[in-house]
Amino acid sequence: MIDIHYIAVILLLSIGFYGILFKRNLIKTIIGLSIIEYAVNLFLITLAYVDGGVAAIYTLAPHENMVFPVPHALVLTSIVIGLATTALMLGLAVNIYQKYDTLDTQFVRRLKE
Amino acid sequence: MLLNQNQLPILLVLIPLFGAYLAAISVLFKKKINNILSLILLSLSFFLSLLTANHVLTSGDISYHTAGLQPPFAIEIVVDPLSALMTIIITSLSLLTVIYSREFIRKELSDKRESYYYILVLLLTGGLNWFVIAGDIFNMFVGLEILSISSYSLIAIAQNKEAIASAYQYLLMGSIGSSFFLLGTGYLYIMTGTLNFADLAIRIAQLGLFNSEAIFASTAFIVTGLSIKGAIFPLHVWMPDAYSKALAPICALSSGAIIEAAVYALIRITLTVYGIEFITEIVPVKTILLWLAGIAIIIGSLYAISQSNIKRMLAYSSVSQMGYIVMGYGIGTQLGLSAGILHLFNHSIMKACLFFAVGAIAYKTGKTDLYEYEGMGDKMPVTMMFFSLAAISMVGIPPTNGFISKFYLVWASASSTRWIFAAIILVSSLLNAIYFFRIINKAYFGGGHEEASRDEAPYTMLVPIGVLAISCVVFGLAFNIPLSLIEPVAEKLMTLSLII
Repeated sequence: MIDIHYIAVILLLSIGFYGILFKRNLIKTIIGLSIIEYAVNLFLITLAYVDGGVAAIYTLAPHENMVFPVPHALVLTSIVIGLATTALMLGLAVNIYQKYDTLDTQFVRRLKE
Repeated sequence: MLLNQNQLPILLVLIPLFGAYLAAISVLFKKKINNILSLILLSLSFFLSLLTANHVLTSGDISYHTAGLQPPFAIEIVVDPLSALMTIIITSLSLLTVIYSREFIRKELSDKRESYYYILVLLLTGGLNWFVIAGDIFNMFVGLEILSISSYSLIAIAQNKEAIASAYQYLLMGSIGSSFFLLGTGYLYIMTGTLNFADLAIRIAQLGLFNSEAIFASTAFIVTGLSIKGAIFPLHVWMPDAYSKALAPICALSSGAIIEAAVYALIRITLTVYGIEFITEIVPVKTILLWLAGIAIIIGSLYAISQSNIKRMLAYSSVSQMGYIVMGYGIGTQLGLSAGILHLFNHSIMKACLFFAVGAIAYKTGKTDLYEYEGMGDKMPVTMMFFSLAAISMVGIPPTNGFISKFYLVWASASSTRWIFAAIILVSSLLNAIYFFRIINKAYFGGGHEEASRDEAPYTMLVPIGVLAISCVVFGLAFNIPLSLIEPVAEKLMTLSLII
């Protein structure tokens, strides 16, 4: 059985890479990177999914089925890390705009000597 | 003993991390205290890392569990001799960086940024220590992110146009690397249900997962992710840009500790989790990395020759030196692995010394270009002497440490009858000689004697340079000290898979 979630993950990853590789606006590359990060998070959440399972929070829950708790912990951590990365990127984008007066990657000086 | 010896490694992580918060608070009360504060905290961490190494050598590996559970459920911290060596490298380099930064940063950055700088260095040290002693793959990821985010900020802190743009580029590539690492972690978790290194290795073998596509995918993602962080050719493109524009002490710290730590993680994960047979026969990671390393050594040296900005040249030289380390690992014998890790240790000493010296010259004279170094041997004789010492060590002239590790590498490739790699090492030593002797020649025999008057860097900068330059010679003679920490682990890693 092919799971539709995995196809979604692949699509999101491709969209993210498209944004990073082909978009000239810095903000769009940041969005692309965020999409990649969320694709990874979606992947981890999908791994944890058990059909009909309940969240493993309440120990006396009536259901026998529970979803895997560990990927949820991983995703929480990775969301926080993603927040830090995105905030730092946006901060740098603000800095770049102040120094170069543009967000177009073509006009941000090529770094070759 | 006041302290349980098994609790030493967790302090290595906690002291710098909490120190960073302490530094952030204390700067509200007293300006300019952060240098002293981070100096004290990092000296303490350095002392603790020496104690840890001593403890590991005398009474075996330390395994420390948090949260009151047993592994694989608890968060585990494992210190074996190799990770003890890595913590010594990390804490000593960051200590020297803080000593060196006292004068350097005061000139380069405003007061406010100066206090941020030390906070970030402390965070970076804590993250690096966490990264190298983590016993499970997810904690390694968290350590990787702490160190990466602080290193992106440290590159950007110079606040010139190019530094910000190159930090942005570094961040973009580094975040993709982190995402790949996390994807690989996800694959490993779903196939085995565990994240602990030792447990992963056992379960992959028990469940017979060596032919599973998910494990292949996890290998690919983790190796690619760590190769980006470790600037392994051809994923090194962020490094020359970032290093040529960042502050010199940050270049020293990151090429001496950060990329080394990433390569260390690559070695550790591939050899403990997957095992030597998997990465040799089923997925030829090692062979691919070996050939890439061979290309990296030559290409990196050629690029280094074509640069005139010295920091950029040193960055390309790092690309080729990372090639040596990966080559030692890729040869795939125990001797090769020891040689590679010995070169890792030596490279961090030599490259940090070179970056410190170049930074001191830029601090005093503002010169960063190769062609402006005329008469530098008369102007800053002590700095230039230390620079030359580290440079001849880089070229590999006895009795320096660069000679020892290159000798080991040639020996390892010859004894596994890979003659082409022995030849590559010798050719690349020649190329190294071209670009380093060019500078030494300019500095001492390039004219410009008339105008030169002695103007030496301050003592706080000379001491770290001197310590590192002298250790180049010391570890060239006493190379059995690092080897005594490396060889037991190399032996263990190489025989691990045969037991299971």
